[in-house]
Amino acid sequence: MIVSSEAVHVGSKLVATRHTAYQRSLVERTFLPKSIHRDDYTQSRGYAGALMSSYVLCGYMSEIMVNSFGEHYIKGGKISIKFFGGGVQNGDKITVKGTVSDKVKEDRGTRVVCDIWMEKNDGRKVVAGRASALLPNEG
Amino acid sequence: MSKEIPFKSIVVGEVLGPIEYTIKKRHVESYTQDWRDPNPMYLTDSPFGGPIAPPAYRAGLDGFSLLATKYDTHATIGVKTEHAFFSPVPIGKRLITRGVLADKYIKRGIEYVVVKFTMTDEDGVKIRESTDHIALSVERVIR
Repeated sequence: MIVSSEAVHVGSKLVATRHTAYQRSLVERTFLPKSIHRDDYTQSRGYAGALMSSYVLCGYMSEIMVNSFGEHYIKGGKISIKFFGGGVQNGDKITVKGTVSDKVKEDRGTRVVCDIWMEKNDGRKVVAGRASALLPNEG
Repeated sequence: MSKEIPFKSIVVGEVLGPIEYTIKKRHVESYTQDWRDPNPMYLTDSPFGGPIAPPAYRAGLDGFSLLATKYDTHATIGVKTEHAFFSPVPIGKRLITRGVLADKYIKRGIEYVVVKFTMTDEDGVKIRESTDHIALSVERVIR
């Protein structure tokens, strides 16, 4: 885990996280017609199948920041992400990656900004954005 | 265009919520199982004194829940979500989220709303500030 801003450099890679995407409600619930959580509707609109909820994907995207920066992300962190590229379906193999893109001095420390994104097994990006943690300055 | 939420019916500036819930230990345990994320901060201890909920727990869901207090959201889809984390998300405390329908717009034929919202705990401690951009449906507007 990264605990000080001096220990990280622009261009540093975060340790990627890998999952088999899973949303319990897509298995257990039945959704109304025209819901993006239904296979029949999403497939009629060109998607591979029922779309996972953005809040679930936000959880996966946030995990890499917690793993990398711990309490400095949990208190003082930010995340901004967009969803695109056909979305994620239950059972997809997903990888979340990140690199440090900037370091910005603030009153209470240094904000370490990261580009983060989610890829499917075929390398296609389906979520991307930025997240940051507020780390203490040394000395 | 959305038949469930007619674009003209959306009132920018409309107050949404509050919604209230309490995150319990069993909810967090379910999260760690579903996400396969057994971070000890969620299950045993954290630098904040005791286990906490993941910072993004329900983060992208509350905007939809707020919108659902006034509109039929079953055909909506999240396209962008933003959150700033001010304090750890506590387990066992009542959490209150208040929002406002901040904007609406049409881009490339799709109708969107913007929901801004803030979560505090029962003691008034600010937990999160958030903004969600939500497409009203995947159907394109024909005008």
